[in-house]
Amino acid sequence: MRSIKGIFVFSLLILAFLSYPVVGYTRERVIVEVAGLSCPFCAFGLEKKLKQIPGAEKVTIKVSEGKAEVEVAEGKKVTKEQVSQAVKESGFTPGKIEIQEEREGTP
Amino acid sequence: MTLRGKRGISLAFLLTAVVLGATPAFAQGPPINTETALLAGFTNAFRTFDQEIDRSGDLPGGMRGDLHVHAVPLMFPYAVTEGKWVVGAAVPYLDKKLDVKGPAGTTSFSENGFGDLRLFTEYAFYIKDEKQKTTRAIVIGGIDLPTGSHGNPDLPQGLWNGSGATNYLMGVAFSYIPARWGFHSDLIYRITIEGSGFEFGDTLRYDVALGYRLWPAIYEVYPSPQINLYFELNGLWEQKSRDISGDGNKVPDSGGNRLFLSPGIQYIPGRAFLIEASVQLPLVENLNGDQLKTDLQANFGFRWLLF
Repeated sequence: MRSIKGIFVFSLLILAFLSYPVVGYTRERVIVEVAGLSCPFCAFGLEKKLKQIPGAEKVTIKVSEGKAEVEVAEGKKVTKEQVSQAVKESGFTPGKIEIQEEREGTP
Repeated sequence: MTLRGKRGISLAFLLTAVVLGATPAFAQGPPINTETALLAGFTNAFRTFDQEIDRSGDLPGGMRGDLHVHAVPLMFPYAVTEGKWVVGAAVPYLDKKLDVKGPAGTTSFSENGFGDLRLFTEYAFYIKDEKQKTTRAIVIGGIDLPTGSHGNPDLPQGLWNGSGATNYLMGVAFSYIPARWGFHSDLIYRITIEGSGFEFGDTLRYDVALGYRLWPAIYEVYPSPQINLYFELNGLWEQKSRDISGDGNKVPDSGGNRLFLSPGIQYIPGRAFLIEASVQLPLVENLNGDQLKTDLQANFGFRWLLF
């Protein structure tokens, strides 16, 4: 009886270990260079358009660097085209776009 | 006061009405009194300000006049294509009071209400964006509809709320903004048509502005509070008016050129709101005949980005 209980606990531990990477997730962060961003008050429209991208969770506009960062909700994907289009629609010119993948929930 | 006397006074105040008609009714953002070509700066928004104008001086017939104008323009620019194409509407609320002092005593005239409705459009035909720098140019078009009260024979024409005519305007604006500094200029011509027996003179508005972000020295992350300073030169040339209902001749005491030096300050506390103020000091007032000279002209207002 004792050994069955031990096997059961051991199995649970193995199962937890094997399933742990599965409960982790990836989160995207998109960094886009925005040319023409010389007027901070004008960033209102840029922020609005970037936030409208499906999956966009948080937008940070670094005026001094001429860049905007979009943090994407877990499990969601954003394409470079979507980001480029949003920047254009806000009245600015998109530059280099970089998508970084950050794995969260893993050791 | 005789009709002839009123006519003389009216002729001397034409420029007042035209100056009000030339308020920055479709400004899209910084600076305060000059148009900007950076349309991304101020659209889908509401702007208003309180403009106070005091003028005084000698009038035809040995009289003296004191004029106070309180104007509150209400402006709504809307972006059809953000940063590229804007349409909008603007209408001023006006409150004018004129005291005319002569040997027989003082006569007062006053009028208030909404002025002519302006519909306008702006289109960016040149955009060159670089890192933290932009160069842009736009064309401007507009139409003033005769919605303001006009034609009251007991008032000098300059006190009417509207011109009584449909007027047209066209112009260009240019902006070069390399981060902390900004240079803006505009040139806007308004064609005026006869209305209620009177034709106000055409106007040419010409402005240049230099803006400087006083604080913070380095703008890190949006939104952050900031303070901007502006030094502007705001000019308005006006053609002589024409009295169609009278002799049909040009009015000698009308038209001329005014140029103001306008220092201003702007505070942006955060994301979608700013307050601003400027004083307009007359540098040049080359006016035809007897017309009132500017004692004080000042603006105080706010802009609010709605959506």
